[in-house]
Amino acid sequence: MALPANSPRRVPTTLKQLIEQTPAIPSMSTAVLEVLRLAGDPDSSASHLADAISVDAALAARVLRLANSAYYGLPREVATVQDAVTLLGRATVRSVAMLAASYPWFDAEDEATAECNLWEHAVGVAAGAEVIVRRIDRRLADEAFCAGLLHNIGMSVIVRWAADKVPTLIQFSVQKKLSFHETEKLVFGYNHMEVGSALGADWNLPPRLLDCIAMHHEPSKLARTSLLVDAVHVADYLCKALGIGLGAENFTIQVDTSSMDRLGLTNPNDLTRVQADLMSRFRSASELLELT
Amino acid sequence: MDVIRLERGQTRTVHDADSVQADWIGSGVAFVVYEARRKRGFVAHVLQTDWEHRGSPTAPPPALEDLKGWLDETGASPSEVRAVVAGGAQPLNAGEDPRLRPGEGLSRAVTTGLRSLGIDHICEDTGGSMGRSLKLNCRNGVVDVVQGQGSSTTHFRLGG
Repeated sequence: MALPANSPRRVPTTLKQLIEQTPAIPSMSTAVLEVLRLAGDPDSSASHLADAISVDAALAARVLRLANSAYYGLPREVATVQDAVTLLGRATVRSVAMLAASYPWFDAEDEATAECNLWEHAVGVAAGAEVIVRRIDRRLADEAFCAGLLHNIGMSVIVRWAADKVPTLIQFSVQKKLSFHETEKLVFGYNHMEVGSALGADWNLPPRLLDCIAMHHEPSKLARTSLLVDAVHVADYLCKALGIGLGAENFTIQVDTSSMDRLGLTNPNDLTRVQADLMSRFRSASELLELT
Repeated sequence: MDVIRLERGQTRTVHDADSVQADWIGSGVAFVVYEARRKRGFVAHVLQTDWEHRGSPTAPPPALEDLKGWLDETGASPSEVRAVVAGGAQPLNAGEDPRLRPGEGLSRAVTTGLRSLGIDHICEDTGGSMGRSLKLNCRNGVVDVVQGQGSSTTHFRLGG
C-alpha cells in the first residue's frame, strides 16, 4: 500500500531512525524513573520517595495538584510531597507521578496527538486496567493504572509523523481485516508496540510495564501470561467500545477473549459492570484532568 | 454557526439554527429524530452502560424515555418524524462471542424502541469496525455520519 502522496514528509523507514529523527519525543524524567524504582523497592522509605519527586519542581507541583483533587478524595489538604506520600501511599504516588509525567507524551495541545485522542485513551485505559485488576489483586491496581497510561506511548511517536495517514490506514485495516498494528507493520515496517517498547527499554522501565507496552494487542503470545497485560488488553477494548480513544487505530483491533476468560470476565454482564466502573472512574479522572 | 457537542450518554433537543455533533461513537449508538416541518429534533448518544444497568437486557435505553417526553411535550407526530441511528461498532474479530458484540444488541434496542414509539422512518448506519461521529444540521435536516476518522461519510436527508 502506497503512502498518501500529500504527506508533508516521509515516515522514517526504520525504528531506529524513527526514534532518532522524531524531534518532539519527550524524555522520561530521571525523577519519574527513580519514583518508579523506589515505589517497587520494599526497603525504600516514604521520605526517599518524596525526595525523588521533589528533585523535579514541575513534577512535584503537578503531584500536589493531583493529590489535592477530588479524584483521590483525601480528607485534608496535601501541602507537601511528603504529605502526599504519607496520605496516598507509595503505590498511588507512583500512579500520580506517572500521570503527571505522561501528559507531555500525549499533549492535548499538540495537534496530531489531540486529533488522535491519545491522552483521553491513555487515561481511559489506565482507569479501566485499574478497575479490572482491583477485582483480582488490589495490590497491583496502581501498577495497572501506570501500565494503562503507558501502553500507547509508541503511538504518540507514530502519529507525530503520520497523523494525516490515519484515516487511510484505518480504511485499509477494515478492508483487509487486519488490526491497525498489523497495518502499521506492513506500511512502516514497525508498529506502535515496537516503537513503545524501544522507548521504554531506553528508559529502563520495569519489565512488567514493558510487557504491557509490547504485548497489549497480543496478550496470549507472552511466554507466561500476565494479569497486567490481560487487564490493559481488555481495558483497551472496553475503552474503544465506549468511544474513549477511537482516534488513532479506531476500532480496528482483534480482541483476545482468552484474556477475558483469565480475568474471570466470562459473560457480557461481567464486562458491562466493569465498563460502568471504568466509565465512572474515567469521568472523575477526566474532570481532574480537564479533559471534558 | 456554533456546533453543539453532545457528550457520551447525553440527550438534547435542537431547534432550527442549531447544529449538533456526537463524536467518538464506538459500540454505543447515537440517534437523531427530526421533524422537518418545524425544523426541530432530538439527539441522543446512548452507551451500553446506560442501558444494561437499567435491569432487563430487553429494556429500551433510557434516552428513549426522554424522547417520548419530547414527543409528548412538543406534540411532534411520530408518523411525521424521521430518524437516523448510527454506531454499534465492534472489533474486527467479533464473531459470535456476545462479549464482542455489545453494539449489535444496543442498535437493535434503539431501533425497536423507536418503532415502539410509532417512528417508522428509520435510516441505519450501524455495525462494522469503525467508530463514527454524527452531525445534524437542524436548518436543513441533513445528517452526516462520518466513519473511521474521515475514511467515509454517509449523508442522510431528513428534511423532506
